[in-house]
Amino acid sequence: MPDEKMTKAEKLIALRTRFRSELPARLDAIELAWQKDKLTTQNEEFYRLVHSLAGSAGTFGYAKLGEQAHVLELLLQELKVGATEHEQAEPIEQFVTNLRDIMLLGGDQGDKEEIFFHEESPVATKKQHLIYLLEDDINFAEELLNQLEYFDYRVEIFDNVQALHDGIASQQPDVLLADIHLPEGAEAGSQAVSELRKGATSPIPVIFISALNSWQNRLNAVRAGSQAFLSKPVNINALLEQLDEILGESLQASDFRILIVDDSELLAEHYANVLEAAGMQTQIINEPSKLLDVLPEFRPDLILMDLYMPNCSGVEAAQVLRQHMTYIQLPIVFLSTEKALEKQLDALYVGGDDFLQKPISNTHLVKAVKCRAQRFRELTALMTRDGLTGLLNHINLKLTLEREVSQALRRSSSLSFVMIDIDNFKSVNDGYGHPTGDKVIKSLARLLCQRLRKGDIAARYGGEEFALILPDTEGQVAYDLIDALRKQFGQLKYTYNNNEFNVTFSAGIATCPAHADMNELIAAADTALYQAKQAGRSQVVVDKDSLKK
Amino acid sequence: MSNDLVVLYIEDESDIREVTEFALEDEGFELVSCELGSQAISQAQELKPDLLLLDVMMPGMDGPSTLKKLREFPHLANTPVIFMTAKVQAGELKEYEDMGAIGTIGKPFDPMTLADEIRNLLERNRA
Repeated sequence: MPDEKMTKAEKLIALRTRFRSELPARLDAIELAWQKDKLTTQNEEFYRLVHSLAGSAGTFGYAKLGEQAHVLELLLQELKVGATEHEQAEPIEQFVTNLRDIMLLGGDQGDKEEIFFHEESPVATKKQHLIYLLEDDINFAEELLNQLEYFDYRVEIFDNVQALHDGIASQQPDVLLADIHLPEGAEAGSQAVSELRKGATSPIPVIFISALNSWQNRLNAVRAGSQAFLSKPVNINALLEQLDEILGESLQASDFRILIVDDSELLAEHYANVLEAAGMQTQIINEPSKLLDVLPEFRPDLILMDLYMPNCSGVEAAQVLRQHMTYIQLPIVFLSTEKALEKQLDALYVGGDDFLQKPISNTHLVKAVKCRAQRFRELTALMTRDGLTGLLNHINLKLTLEREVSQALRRSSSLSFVMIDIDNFKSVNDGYGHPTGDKVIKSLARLLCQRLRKGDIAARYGGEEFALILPDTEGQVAYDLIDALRKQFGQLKYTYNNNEFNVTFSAGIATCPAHADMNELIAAADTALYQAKQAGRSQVVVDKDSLKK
Repeated sequence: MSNDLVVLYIEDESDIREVTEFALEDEGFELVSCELGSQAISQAQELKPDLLLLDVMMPGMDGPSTLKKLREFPHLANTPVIFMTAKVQAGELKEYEDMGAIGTIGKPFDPMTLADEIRNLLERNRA
């Protein structure tokens, strides 16, 4: 049997080789057939040749070429049916040229693509990340270590460059935090990092820390290959944000929802398959008039819209969407064969955000959509979130709660709503100053972000008040979760002028469907919070009705 | 006489035909390959295949029309059918199923697993 397989593999290679040698002639034939009859109904030959290439290229190790031919075939099918008016000769000509380019890239592109998609796949579990800290000021280093460990990072401290080298030799950290100024020299930190990164195939991400916030210092950091630069005293929130970004925890492709609007069912399905293979969620509509029905439920991060559709153009659809306040920020990316800059600008002027040119390769489509969705989401975050904490702001909390409550009712699952208030916050502000108060608020926000589960939503409700939405969570489960958080928060140490102090919070919980109306739900949680305060603070109270099963 | 399954195979592309032949040989299949639907019909008169394997899109008579003609022979009225085609819409696959296909093999296919794919479809049909 093994021998037989060997000969089979050999034979396959021989067949592939022959396919490769005949490929240029095949593409010549395709081009010739195209030049001869273009898009006429008589041009069956062209269609047949494209179809045949689509069906065979993948089998012989030209996956990408096959895909591209397949997309062209789908397009030709559409044209046969007569569904598309505008997309005529030009895009097809581009496709034909594309085929040749892809052929020239060589075969077995498929393997590369597979690896690429694999990398994009969502990470299943959150692992504890290892951080190395290069810092000679041991007090500072230990304080940072304590704070980072609260957020579930594992930290090891090295007080000199040699020790760091040894540490890295035994285990690679996920991120390196390095002080620039070390006893070895004013720029010893950045020099050491430059050395480390030289010749490394996958260099360790680095964040520099320096007491000296100068242009030159920052430039040195950039040149040494740093991802970020933080000045001392280090703002822990800024540091955590940088870590999230580097470790890719803040945004994952799997979170992106893409709505595809294209009158061509075949092409829409093709785009959906490609984006889903890269871990995104998609939904297709073939008729722009359905947009307003689908949007509230699917809540896409981005709309990928064909520019030319029979009943309503993409531009018109975008204009209709922009009439709705809710969708004024929703990114719309047009997918079009439109090359004319002026027409593109017209489309952008009425509310499109970007253009992608058809035909587009799978890899390009995934990257283009992903980076736009990510960027747009970051921008949205700036608009809907509280500036100090990065949590949802009050208005958006209510919008979100409304949606979550109706979803919970529809699925008949329970939802817990939590109100949290920092105890005696006024005395923190009065005693230690507002900057310290802000620090307390930020640290609670970070703790919430880190400890909450996927799907949970945290918001800053007002001054020192926070609100949490916990979908699919019974009152008792919510109590356990929040009480654990309360204990953890109480252990965080703050310092002011060498005085250490702790802060506590109280919380009230109410659930839906015990309170099916959103305002009633908020009021019930608020009452529970009031009871917690009355009973002596630093405790969690669940609303009576919400505990009954 | 071996126990090989006799497969009536119709595919207009010679290179695909060749790769299929090699993928199925020594795997318990005996292939009778035809380039055109009309050839298959004349072959079928004196052949009792265990499986019909048809390309969907062919010049002249396409896969579904060829199948209709083949079904007119009483001895082929219930022979299992597998279509080979580039994956398109779900609706299309349903259409083939309605024609009595026990499955569809997407193109491009992997020559190293084609035999298994066919065996699985036959197995599932029997179950």
